[in-house]
Amino acid sequence: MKSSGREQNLIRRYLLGDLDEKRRERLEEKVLTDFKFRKRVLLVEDELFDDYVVGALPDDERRKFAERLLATPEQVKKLEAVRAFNVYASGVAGELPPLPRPVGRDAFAARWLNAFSQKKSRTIYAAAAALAVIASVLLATLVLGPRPDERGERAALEEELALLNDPRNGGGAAGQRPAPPPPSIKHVSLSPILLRGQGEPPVVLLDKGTEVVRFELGFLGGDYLSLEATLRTVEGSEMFTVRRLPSASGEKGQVVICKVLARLLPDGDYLLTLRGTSRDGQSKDAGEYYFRVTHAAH
Amino acid sequence: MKERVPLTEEEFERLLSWLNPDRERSGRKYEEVRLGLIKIFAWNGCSDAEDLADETINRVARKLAEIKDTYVGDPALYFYGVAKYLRWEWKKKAGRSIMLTPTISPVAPASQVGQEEGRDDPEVSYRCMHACIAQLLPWERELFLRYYSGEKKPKNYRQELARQMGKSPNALRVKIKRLRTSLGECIRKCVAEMGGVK
Repeated sequence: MKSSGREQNLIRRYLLGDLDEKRRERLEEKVLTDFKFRKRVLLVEDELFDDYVVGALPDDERRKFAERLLATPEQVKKLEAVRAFNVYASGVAGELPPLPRPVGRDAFAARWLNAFSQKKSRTIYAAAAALAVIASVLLATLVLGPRPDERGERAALEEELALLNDPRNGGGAAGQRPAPPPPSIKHVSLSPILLRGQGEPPVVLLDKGTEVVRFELGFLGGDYLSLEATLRTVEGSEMFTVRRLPSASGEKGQVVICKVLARLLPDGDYLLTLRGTSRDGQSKDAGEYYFRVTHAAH
Repeated sequence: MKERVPLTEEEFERLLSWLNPDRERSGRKYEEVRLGLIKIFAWNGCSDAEDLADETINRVARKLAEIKDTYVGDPALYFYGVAKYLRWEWKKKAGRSIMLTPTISPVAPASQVGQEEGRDDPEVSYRCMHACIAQLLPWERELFLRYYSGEKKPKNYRQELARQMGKSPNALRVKIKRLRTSLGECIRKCVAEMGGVK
């Protein structure tokens, strides 16, 4: 199944919606009449999903990807499967031996080559993990950066959240206030959405007096030097990032604790993305958490 | 999309024989056309790609009596002509641009987080993934994990990985696709057996 770089580039542009109508139609005709070509398109599509998950697409391509390639439930499931594989593989990457140096067809390559020629393909792509409210993931990818006049405000907010999450501060709602009274804290446990089943998002019901929401984020693990969480609305608007988050042992294994001021959470649906920095300096997805905030009627 | 009137047996038979006089080949061709249409609709951001593909097929089947004696060329291209029209109709419908269609569920009952007994066990999926990956041949497992753990510059990383294998990047893509397909199958079965999906 040969595919030239030029063809791959054309296919990629098609999938991201960058072709003019004429070329798009020619390509689509070929998809219907040339089965081998269709398979090559599917491979490029796969690679785009992989690139999207590891954050390798530039912003404009991420946006196009989300608009065009995450429209059907099957595509969304596929994304979740890729994300699950990526999280899993990233977690065990440290256990793999280093790659041998490329010396032509060395034993390592030969071993692979032999096996390559023996395996048969199977049918029907199946999603790896059951799916939770994925549209939030998609929408969250359309994030736009803050406008310049919002940056200072956001920096101040993130500083406040960093203080709130600093274990040395003992969980005060506003680290800058002198000797604050103990805040009213709402404890919430969330599981990463890539492993949740399809269904309703968990609802975080906030009372009037709640000052802080303490999220306990179920965590697949991984050896990270630091962790940070970014909160977005499902409409894709990035709200803030909380850095240097501590992890701890919870009832169901390792968890990451992230505290957020309740006043920053009006009614609505949110996506919290956890990212970790590994020892080799790479930033990796460590989990995504979807939830809905509802304030109790007063 | 409004409810489709299913094809009659006669209409369907006529369609198959137009695709190819040989029954086995016509069945294959039908599947290929249908899957191709689904993909094309999906790649154009149509959220109900499968419905649109089936509607395309139905319209072609119903038009067949008029065209089959005069149409020249690959029947797939006739399907494509109809599909283009349907895509245009789909886009035209009020408020529907080619945009992400949110699939967020309606408002949840006001259950609190942590009070979701009876819901999926998230650990089941993880355990199944772990078990299925463990079942791969050692070289496959290694390849798969390396492919998915490489991140910084995926293109370079994948090229390097392919080079280590003495294979083209395309061969690597094909292999990863196969592994992913078989793993997906394995995980789905495993989750069903463990009762993780309700």
